[in-house]
Amino acid sequence: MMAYHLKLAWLSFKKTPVMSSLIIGAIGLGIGVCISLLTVYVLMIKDPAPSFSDRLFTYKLNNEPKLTEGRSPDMVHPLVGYRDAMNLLKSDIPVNQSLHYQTAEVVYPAASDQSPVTRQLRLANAGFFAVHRIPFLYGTPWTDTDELSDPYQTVLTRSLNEAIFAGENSVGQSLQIGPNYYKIIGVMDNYKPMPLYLETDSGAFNEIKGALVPFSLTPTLEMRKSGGSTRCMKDPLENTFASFLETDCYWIHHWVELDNTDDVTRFKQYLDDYSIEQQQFSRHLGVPKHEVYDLISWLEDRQVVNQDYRILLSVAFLFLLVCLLNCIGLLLAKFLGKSGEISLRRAVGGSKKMIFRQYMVEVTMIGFLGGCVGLLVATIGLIGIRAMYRNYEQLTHLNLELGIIAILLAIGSTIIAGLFPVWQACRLPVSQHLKSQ
Amino acid sequence: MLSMKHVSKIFQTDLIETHALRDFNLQVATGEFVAVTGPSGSGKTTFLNIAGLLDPFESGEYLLDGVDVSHLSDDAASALRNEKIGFIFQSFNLIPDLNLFDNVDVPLRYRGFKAAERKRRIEQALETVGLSGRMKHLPSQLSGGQQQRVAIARALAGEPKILLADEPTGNLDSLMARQVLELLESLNEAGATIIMVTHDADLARRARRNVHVLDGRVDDYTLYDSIDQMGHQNTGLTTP
Repeated sequence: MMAYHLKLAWLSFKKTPVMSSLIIGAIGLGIGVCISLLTVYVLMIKDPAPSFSDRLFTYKLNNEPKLTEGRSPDMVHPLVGYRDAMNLLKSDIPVNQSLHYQTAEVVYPAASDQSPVTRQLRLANAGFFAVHRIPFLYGTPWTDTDELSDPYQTVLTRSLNEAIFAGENSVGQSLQIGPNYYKIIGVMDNYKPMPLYLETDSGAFNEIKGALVPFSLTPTLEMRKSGGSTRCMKDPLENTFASFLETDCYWIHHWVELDNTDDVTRFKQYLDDYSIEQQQFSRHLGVPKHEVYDLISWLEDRQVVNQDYRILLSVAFLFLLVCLLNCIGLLLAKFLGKSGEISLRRAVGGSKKMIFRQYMVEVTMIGFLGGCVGLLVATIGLIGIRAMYRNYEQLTHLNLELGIIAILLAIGSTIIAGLFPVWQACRLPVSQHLKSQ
Repeated sequence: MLSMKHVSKIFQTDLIETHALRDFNLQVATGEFVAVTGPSGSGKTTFLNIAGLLDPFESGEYLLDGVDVSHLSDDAASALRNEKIGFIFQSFNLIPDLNLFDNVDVPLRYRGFKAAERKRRIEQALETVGLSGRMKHLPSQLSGGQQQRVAIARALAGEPKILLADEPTGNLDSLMARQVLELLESLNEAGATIIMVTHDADLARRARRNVHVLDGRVDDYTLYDSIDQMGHQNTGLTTP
């Protein structure tokens, strides 16, 4: 019977192509707009490190170096300064700790026909690779020992390695970054956590590009952060980088990997003790306070998905609702236009249930076709978003799951929209329409 | 086959109440060919709709092939209609998008027959009405008379107990009307019970029995015991 109903649905579509296309178009438009925005939203809110996100933690600390009138004494900051970072790194509670910040430097390709280019440069400690499970295409990361004994080493991102070495294994070669030469010890494989949770202040939907060098070079290279925020609560005593490091400026990302909830509790206690200690040293003058976040709650706190986007998504679903309301009208017109056929079918033995089933199959087919059109509209919409917002490039790819959701959403919403028209069609006074044929 | 006792039907609006049938009584035996006549608005179509289980009625008793249809659910009424009744309409009521085969197939689908059984019945029904060679044609490719024959084939395919025909020749010219009527007569001779609503007196005379309806009641009966081959003259007697 299903094949028969599908055949009838197809015949009905062919009989009223304009009205059917209008209905399918309306559903497709509503679904397309929703799915394109939903695609971005789903990628924004998804767990970027599902296999280990429950082990990753970061924190905010009240590291105010002075009390300012009008500012709350218990404010906490999401970034740490160099001195705090180096102090907290000494804790043995975390399994691994990651310190890093982003800057930029000129990279000089070895080939003479390639021009120097400015690329992202990340200063990161050895723990960075372990904490964030950085995959490697070639070579290995540096170790804690390397950082101190032989710090002029670099790990390239895959994109930089492809740009400079055409994707070949460049491990062992030398590369000039800024004024210094670095030995390439590793090349990262594709690493695109989405959102880029480890440094949300420089764009949660950016990609890690360029090269990485050891964090221990920070005082030597005298490179400040570029991109993201740097907050200085006091002016440096002198106009030197060393003074900048000593002053309470906050710009470093600190992530820790903790084994279990006991370690989380211990780490919180450690931060308590540290805050009280620093207050005693008159470094932190606010109320000793900290907030520890796991990865997911950190993304929520950082408002990776801002309220405006949520409102936009709601508006998109309202738009779908409007499209469906239009569909109800069109479906009603379509089915009431079949009053003669419906009455005939009823007269020759079709029960209301049978007629209902037949036209719900037609509605489902319309929903399916609407979903297909919706996928097309969503694809075009995502291309548009990509063209307008380059930061969203990674977020604007429709995957299979969302494709299936689009189809199911279209079918489901069309079925809901079709219930009233089909129900009305089943209630037609049979004898009246048979006579008026 | 069909027994209606004291059946009444009222159409009601906010302003007016119309008694379409009042104390309507009629018995139709198996194998009869009954013509129901009467002026417009007399209630003959209302009778046919109630007889065909298309409309409910307010009071009275209606037995169709021994089944009391007064309180049937929609499912039960539909199944009964499908199994026991074949409809022939004035305007044929063929589905224009379906070819002849699929049009005749419609009631069989609701009966739940297997494909082979449906095919057999469809071919046989179209053979009976002389259209077996045009199964893949659409209704629009046929003349009015041929379309009505398809409608008859559709009514016959389910092998119903009774055929209900509402002005079956109303939309046909005289030649085609005659062909259709001859077909109905041959079906009746083969054992089919037929109730035909018409206001064409000549047509009615060809039935075995005439039932005249006036103001929602059976006004009189006319029996035609024998039918003259040529002139279809009235040789029966009238009963009050």
